[in-house]
Amino acid sequence: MEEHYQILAYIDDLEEAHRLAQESNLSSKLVKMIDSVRGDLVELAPVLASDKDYQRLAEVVEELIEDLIESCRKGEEASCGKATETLQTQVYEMKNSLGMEKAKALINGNGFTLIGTADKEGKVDIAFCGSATIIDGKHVAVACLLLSRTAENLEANKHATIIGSRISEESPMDTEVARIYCTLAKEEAAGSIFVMMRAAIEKEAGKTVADMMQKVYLFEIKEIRISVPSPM
Amino acid sequence: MYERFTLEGKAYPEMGREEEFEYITEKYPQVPQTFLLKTDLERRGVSFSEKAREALQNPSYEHTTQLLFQWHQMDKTQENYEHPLCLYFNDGTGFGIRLGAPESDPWEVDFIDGDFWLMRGSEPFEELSPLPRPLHYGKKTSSGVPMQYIAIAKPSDAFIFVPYRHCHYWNAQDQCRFCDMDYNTGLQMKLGRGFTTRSTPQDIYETTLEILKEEGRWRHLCITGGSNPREGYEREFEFYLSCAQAIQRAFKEVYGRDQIPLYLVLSPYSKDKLERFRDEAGVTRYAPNLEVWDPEKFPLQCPGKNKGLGREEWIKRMLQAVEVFGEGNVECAFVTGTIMAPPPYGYTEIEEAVRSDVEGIRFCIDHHIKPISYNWTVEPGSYFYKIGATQPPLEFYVRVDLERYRLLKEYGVKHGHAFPSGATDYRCCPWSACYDWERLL
Repeated sequence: MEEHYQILAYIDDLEEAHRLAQESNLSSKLVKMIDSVRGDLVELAPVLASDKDYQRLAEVVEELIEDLIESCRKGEEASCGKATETLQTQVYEMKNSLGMEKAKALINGNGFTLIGTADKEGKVDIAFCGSATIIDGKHVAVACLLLSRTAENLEANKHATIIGSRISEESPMDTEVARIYCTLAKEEAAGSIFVMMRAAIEKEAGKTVADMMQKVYLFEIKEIRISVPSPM
Repeated sequence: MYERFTLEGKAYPEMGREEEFEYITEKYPQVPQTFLLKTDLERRGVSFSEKAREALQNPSYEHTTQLLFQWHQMDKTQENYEHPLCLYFNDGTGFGIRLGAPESDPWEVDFIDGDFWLMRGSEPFEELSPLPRPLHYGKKTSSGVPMQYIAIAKPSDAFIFVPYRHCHYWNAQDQCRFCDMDYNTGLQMKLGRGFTTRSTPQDIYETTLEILKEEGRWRHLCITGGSNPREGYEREFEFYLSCAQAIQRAFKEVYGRDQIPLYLVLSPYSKDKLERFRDEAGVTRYAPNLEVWDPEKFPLQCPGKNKGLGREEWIKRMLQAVEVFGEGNVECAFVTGTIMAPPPYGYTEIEEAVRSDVEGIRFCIDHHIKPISYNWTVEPGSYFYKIGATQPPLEFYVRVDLERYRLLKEYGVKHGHAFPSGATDYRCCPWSACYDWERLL
């Protein structure tokens, strides 16, 4: 794939939209939404892996961004809002869908995957969760195994962040990281996912350890953020 | 290093740093030593000893941010240390810090008994000094942007604003072949710290107010950045005009003046737009840099500029800029060195390359445009880096500098006065010795 810098133009256009929106005295809510789309584009950049991805991105955002700039220039709050909302949804979806494969590669089967949770007061805990497995485009499963503080926290606060990485000793810039922001959807003590997770743990750590697993946490994936080496 | 270059048809000898410096010193004794060192430092780059690195972390020194280009011959991502934009010799000649790749055989800077030294082998050769940190560094604008990301010291008496750090020529891979702007912007974004492609006029206004508080530190203010040729450069013009007006607003508040020592290094807009810069933003100087003079090489090296306006139109507008801003208040920079990029982008024969560059310099001087140089560094991310281009020999740069000096002297004889030069001076041009030579006129 040739190196692409077109995404910088989109990021730049959103910064221009931000400026024009402020000059036209449009609402701060709208300006924040524009900033949010810009932030997602910055995070999308490293996961664009093929010319096809770039083509898809162009199809998704190009016209909308032009509309947005024009509306910001004219000070039209409603049409700005509409264009920004559509952009937000499209870019967010694209970021998550393109990040999924990389996230699987970095999280599934990685003994150094970590899970972060917080109690009701916001105190944070981080624990190893080598069992974490992205099982489909929307869910990640984690075995409840040696995760006492995590379990306590999840009773009080269902949000979690799972992080898998491949550290480069040669250069920190070559380190690859996937972060999954998720929410506990359900717990399973039987069923196909439970059986699959138990079999995987038995294979990896033996029957004694697998027998210690009482249940599986099934999280719904809300957002994926990827950091991988790339010119952008 | 130079096996592909020739001089008068003969293969140019391959030389290491010491040997080449010695050779040129003997061949061109009229070149002041610090000018020659500066030229070679821009070409080969520098490396810092551990002691020098540690000493440079002193927070009272000016530490630069990579706002526009990396300036270096390698990515500065693995080693987290600060360094200034420029270091100065004791005669006031300053050179831009370009971290040199090992294959360029860079010069070394060491720290010995409390002083910085440029080393020659294991011996101290020339003493060096960093500049004090500008007062606006470390402060933030009301929107939370660190002010050193709005304007950087350039370095002893100018501040450079880079409000637009994306160049649309990159979108279609038509960027100038020596340029690493978008690569650098992408890299800085990846490194985090909230790096953006743009500054807002409000942030520029607030930063200017802070800069102006440091009386005696600044003499010139400059705006430069990327291009946006969409809608006939209309969006680019509109944005930069608002940035210049933000600086003027701050200036007016402090000094009550409309005309300000602000020069713009931007595209050559149409005459009516240049007049708007002058009349509506108080701009007094302009630099529509052509980058490469050679009519054959310009389209190859600057395809975006060539498609956007074309060389003839560019030159026509440069001349119109003189009508708007006056003789001596318009500059044209050439990226000296790229004329010896690998064919077809450049020439391999030094004579031919010098002749081509000097033709551009002569044209500028004849039309009261100040010709200046930003000496080329082969930066990662640039097209020339990717194709494995290497720097021309030191002799090429010396010959271009000597010819420019000769032509400027001729101008003085012809017109009975020195070249009217109001845009910038040697204190704020660390990237070539062209301004330093003017000190000898």
